[in-house]
Amino acid sequence: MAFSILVCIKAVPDLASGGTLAIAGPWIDETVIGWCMNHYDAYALEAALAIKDAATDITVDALSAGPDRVQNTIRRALAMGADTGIHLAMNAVGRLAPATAALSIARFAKTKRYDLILTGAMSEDEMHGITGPMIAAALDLPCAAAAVEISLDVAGRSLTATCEMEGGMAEIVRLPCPALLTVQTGQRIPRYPSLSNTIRSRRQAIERAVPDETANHTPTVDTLRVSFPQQTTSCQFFEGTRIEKADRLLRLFNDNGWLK
Amino acid sequence: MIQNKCLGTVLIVGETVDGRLSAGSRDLGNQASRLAGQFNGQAVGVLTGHDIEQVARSWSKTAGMPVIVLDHAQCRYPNPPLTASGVGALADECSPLAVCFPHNMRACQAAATMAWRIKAPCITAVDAILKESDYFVLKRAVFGGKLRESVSVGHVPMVLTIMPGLFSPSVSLEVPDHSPSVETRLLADTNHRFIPQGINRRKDTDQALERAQVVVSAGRGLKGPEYKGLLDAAAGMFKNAAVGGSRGACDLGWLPHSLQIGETGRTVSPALYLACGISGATQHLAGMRESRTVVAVNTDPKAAICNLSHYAVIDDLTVFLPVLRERYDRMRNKGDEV
Ligand SMILES: Cc1cc2nc3c(=O)[nH]c(=O)nc-3n(C[C@H](O)[C@H](O)[C@H](O)COP(=O)(O)OP(=O)(O)OC[C@H]3O[C@@H](n4cnc5c(N)ncnc54)[C@H](O)[C@@H]3O)c2cc1C
Repeated sequence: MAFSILVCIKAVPDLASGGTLAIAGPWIDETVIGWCMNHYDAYALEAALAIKDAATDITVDALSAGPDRVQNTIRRALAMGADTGIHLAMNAVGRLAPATAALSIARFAKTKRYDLILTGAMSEDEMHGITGPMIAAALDLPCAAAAVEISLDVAGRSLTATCEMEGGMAEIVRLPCPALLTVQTGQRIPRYPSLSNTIRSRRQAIERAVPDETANHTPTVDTLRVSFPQQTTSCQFFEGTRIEKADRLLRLFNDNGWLK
Repeated sequence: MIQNKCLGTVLIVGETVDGRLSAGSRDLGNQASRLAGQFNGQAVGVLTGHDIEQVARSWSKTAGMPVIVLDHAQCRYPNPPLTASGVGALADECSPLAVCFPHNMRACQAAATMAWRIKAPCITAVDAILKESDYFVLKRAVFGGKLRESVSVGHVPMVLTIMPGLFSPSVSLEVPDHSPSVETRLLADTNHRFIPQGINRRKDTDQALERAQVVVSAGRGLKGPEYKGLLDAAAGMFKNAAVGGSRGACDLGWLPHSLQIGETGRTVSPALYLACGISGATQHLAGMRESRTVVAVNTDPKAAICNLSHYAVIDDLTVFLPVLRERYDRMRNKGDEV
């Protein structure tokens, strides 16, 4: 029985490879930064690919909404093993509010009748954690958040998800498909692209869809500004050579009686 | 009860897990009156669960607010869709200024779902609220705490998830002369598409981390599992130390998940927390902010962890930690004080 999965991925500023944030206007300076796949979405994609590996007749579509730069992230998803890459071309400049992204993704997904939609639990940059649940609300799908384990019953068209809670607890829930899950990091480390998929991803065309953004009724939340956090505590930075710093630290530890 | 408080209600939404108030809900309850005051409104609690009247009474008393219990057998464990529909119906009824949830992933889900239905703006992980002339400014951390974002919202109701401790300690000290009312409403049996099955609880095999006087903790700045020995070597300098890590390091498999410190991991409050290559995301801080002394070793002086730290060494930990150990050994061999 065919089963189709949509994974929603976001391109976020790449800070892991040494990029630093600069502020421009009310948001960051997007011209001085590289982009990569949101960490949480990479885990969502990995979860989808693991489901695909374990069964037959499962397709995985990877979708990203945003300006043209998101295409690199879509290619990365193809290289990891997604079957189809979809670019929802939106909003050439600036950011997409979660509700705006959710509405456009939901409108697109409705036409494709996916059995399962996965998103990351949140995005590393804006950290809202609400886009996935809003897509589910727009499509009236059952939804569970922060899944760390997914077990799918393809024939029974249902799934059981283990959803992480605080302090080492997890809730087990069952949802009928079609459903939406937001995926939390942890269970399977996202795979590296294979050579064959990388070659395929370079040649494969990315499907492009232009959503209708006119009837967007979602209430606005405006970013006034971003700022670097104030140095609130009086953190004392040790100065000097490496050896001097080590010795000062050891003196501190010793004076408190912590050292052996 | 809610009818005569129609003007200026702020709904404070808590949850129970298997009959017990969740930690986040307790904290939100403690903030309730100040939080509501910020909106010039009055706090009304909403508590989801099953058979929880006693819990609701005690929450209502400590938080000093009336509480409406939303009861359903399927709310014994957290149930975001039922919470969203139940709280959404209350919001229709009393037109609140704001609906506040504690900040966690399932509350974000409930908040987003209900905000979508009632067409209200939804802002999560709010850690400060200011009133301007005709709008509110909400502040929150973005980029893992590297930046702070200020957003403006002029629309009510707004649906928020609130970081712990935003307005605490804010429990009103006046003892109310009468206990606030508690009212139970049974939720309609409508949702059969989200079926809670139960709760798994991690069993920590030992309490070494919680008992340690010193916690040497590493994050993604560790660069790879091959450097894990540096942590053990550093821990070996102390009388009573244990090694822990951030989720970043545990997710990558460099350290076992059982050593993860933070909101979804373990909570420690040692005399010394040595944070090596940890950026200081709020979820990590949730598990170590009670540490008495925090020392950061990080290449980035702007890392959020430095805000919480008492001392910081700006350096590459893979180079600095070996030097630290070497100086320690030298000090011990010579028997002299540094
Ligand atoms: C629902 C939810 C729950 C979560 N629960 C937890 C939790 O319980 N615990 C937790 O820790 N996280 C948790 N997180 C994740 C959290 O948001 C962060 O992603 C995580 O804490 C980051 O880990 P990190 O600090 O190791 O990595 P990063 O944020 O990548 O930071 C690495 C740091 O190392 C520094 N660095 C890099 N190289 C070096 C070097 N050579 N020497 C010294 N410093 C260096 C960098 O400057 C940076 O500050 C949770 C997230 C969510 C959404």
